[in-house]
Amino acid sequence: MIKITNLTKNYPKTKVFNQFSIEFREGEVTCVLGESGCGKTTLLNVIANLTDYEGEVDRVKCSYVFQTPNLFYNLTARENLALVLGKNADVDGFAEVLGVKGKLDSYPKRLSGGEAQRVALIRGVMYSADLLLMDEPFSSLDLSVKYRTMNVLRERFKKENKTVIMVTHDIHEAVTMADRIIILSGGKIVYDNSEVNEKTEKELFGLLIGKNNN
Amino acid sequence: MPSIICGAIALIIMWLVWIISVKTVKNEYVIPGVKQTFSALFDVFKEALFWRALLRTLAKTVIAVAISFVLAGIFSLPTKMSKNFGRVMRPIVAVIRTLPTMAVLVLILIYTDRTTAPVIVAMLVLFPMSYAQFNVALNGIDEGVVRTAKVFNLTKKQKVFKVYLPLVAPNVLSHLGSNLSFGIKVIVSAEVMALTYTSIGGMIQSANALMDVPRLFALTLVAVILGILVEAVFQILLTFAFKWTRAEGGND
Amino acid sequence: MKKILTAILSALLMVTALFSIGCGGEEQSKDKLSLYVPDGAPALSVARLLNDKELVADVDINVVGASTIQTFVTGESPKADLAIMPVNAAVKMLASKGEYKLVGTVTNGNIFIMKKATGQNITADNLSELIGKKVGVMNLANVPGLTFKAILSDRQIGYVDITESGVVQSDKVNLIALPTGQEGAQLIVPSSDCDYFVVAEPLATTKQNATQGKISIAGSLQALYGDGNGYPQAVLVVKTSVLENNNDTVKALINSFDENVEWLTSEQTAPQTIVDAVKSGFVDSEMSATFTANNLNVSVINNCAIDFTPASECKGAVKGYIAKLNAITSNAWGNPVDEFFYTV
Repeated sequence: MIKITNLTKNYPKTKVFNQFSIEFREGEVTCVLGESGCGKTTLLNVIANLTDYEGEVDRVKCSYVFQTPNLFYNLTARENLALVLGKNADVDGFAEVLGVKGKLDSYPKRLSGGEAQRVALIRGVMYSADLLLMDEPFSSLDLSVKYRTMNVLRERFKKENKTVIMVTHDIHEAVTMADRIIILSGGKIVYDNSEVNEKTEKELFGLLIGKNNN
Repeated sequence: MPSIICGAIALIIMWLVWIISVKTVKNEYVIPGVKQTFSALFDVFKEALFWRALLRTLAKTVIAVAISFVLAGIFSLPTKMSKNFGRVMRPIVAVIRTLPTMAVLVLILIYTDRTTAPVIVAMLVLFPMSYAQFNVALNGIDEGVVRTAKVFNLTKKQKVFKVYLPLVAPNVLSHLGSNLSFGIKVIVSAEVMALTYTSIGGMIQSANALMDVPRLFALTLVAVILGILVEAVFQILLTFAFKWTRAEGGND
Repeated sequence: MKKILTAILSALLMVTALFSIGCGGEEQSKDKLSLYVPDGAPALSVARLLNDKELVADVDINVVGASTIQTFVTGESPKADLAIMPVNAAVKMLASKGEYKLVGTVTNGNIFIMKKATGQNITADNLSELIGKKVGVMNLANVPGLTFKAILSDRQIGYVDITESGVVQSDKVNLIALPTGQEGAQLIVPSSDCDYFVVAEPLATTKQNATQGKISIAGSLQALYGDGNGYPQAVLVVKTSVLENNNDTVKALINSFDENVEWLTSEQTAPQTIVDAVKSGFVDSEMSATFTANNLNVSVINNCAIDFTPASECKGAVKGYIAKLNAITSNAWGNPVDEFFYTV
């Protein structure tokens, strides 16, 4: 269980969280949805201790897949992975599954956005941590690559019983990947569903798109 | 337009300015003619003292630039990692930057010699510049990279040697050529003041004392050409390094 | 195209700026002759004429920085009808050109040897006292240093410049070049490594007073040079055309020098009056004056050795002095041909 209790986080002109609390269960993939600026990325950064905050947050070892690849561009893709995962890490298999094995010896400047993001995914997923945070990890992937990647990851998370918190704008991504979906709005949880099924997508469309149309 | 043509145009313009100045001022003791100056230049090239002086001036410049560069790197890394360290450094660097260096030269001369004093003066001028260049380069590192290094628990050694230094290297080293060129100017000026004999500055001082204006101009021209050459050579060397900065390089 | 235009405009601006510099300076009355003198002892020699401009009303006196005097006597149309300037510069720049003639010497040396408390007074008889010692010389590469070297050479006393090496030789006079101006003055202190110093006025007297005699005047280059009559330091040069067309005015100026010296050393003449008179002739009002009321007194004025000697009498001394300087500097100063001297 990863607990956040009475989290308060404000930016100079924006209040994001005020006495916010939430719990995440181990082995569960939780997707966080919400409008822009509602605090989804801030939540991940608080958990990863990348930003100041007030409140209590359980400290666990985190891995992170950022929205942009954030590869060290002075190292090849393989060297990037070795720096974080260790020299002996066997990345070729996973790289082949994600379709980037042939690009591992390239520098990030020679990779396309999608290729670089897949390398970042390999790094994040293979890094030994108690919690994997992902911030819109598929946004730079084209459709066919995205669906293939999502399937691979979903299988891997189930197999490894990984605890994942994933931020996304995409309802279909959330429904495909998540065991639990929450929607944030105004620093509060306005929707929390731990029984994601076929109907959830319609429900979410109604909630999010319908809300916007009102 | 190819840069070599732009360079040629610049050279022609400077040449014309010189010729027009000579014709306007009409005083060889203020601005000597082109022919006189080049004649003096070729005479200077024939002197063994000149080549010794040139090597010594260059050596002093390289030493001053290298030491200030290394010191700037050493002090800028903790500045990046600690806000308080940066706050302490800021007024110190400001003082060094605004020190009237030629006045300080006198003090330095009391405790050192004519060869060392210009090097120290040049370091005082170059360190704030290099420190600022390092800071700009370090602050220019993508925040995402910094976060990634933190999240994945890279050690301080890994952060410094695998990430920060390699990432700032192209930016910082690109300034090194112009620092060397500027360093030559400072060293020569300090040599003139400190009366460092076997040096370009010392030879300029002697030419001035003997009122040999063409020789003075010729030696000044040497300093200028040296500065340009050093900067150009450095730029060329840099283009062969850092293949990871080239989008078309990479996959070897 | 933009870059080319920018470059051309910049070049034009530079040329315009240079042209303005070349045209700078005070406007001269067309009816009057212009005399240019460097600040220092030469300016003192005409201070009385600056104090009362009616004394030689046909001459405008302009006081300029010592390092710029040569710009007023050279070039296609030199500004100076008359000038007082260092003898070596006059010979180098003017002797072969025929535009100016040397009319006489005006000052005869104001350079002194200074000692520390443990040192000795230096005369022609004990110059060898300096062997094995370190002598700090301000302006070693120019007149002070060259004159000192000439004096040592005349007496077959060896010298070596140890400015760079710092290695003292026990069988020679060890010369150390000191920077000029304030930078060098700050190094002339009792705690200095040097045993003796060679310094010009007014710094010599200023240092003696400032150190309460811990550094004091020990001898003068004037007394040590040649037969002790001093050496020509600054000379009066006059355009040949002015000598032909304005001879009376030139004579009036020459005749004023003796009275000028009397006025300078008179009890009725306050140092501030002299300083103000010299400043009134400054072309650049922002220039800092060599002499102030604090460092100017009768002793300093006497030390400046102001004394006009016509060319007919000083020709030999000038030629001899230049020859000695040339011997040390590979003939850097040229040849003072007979035609350069106005001996009429």
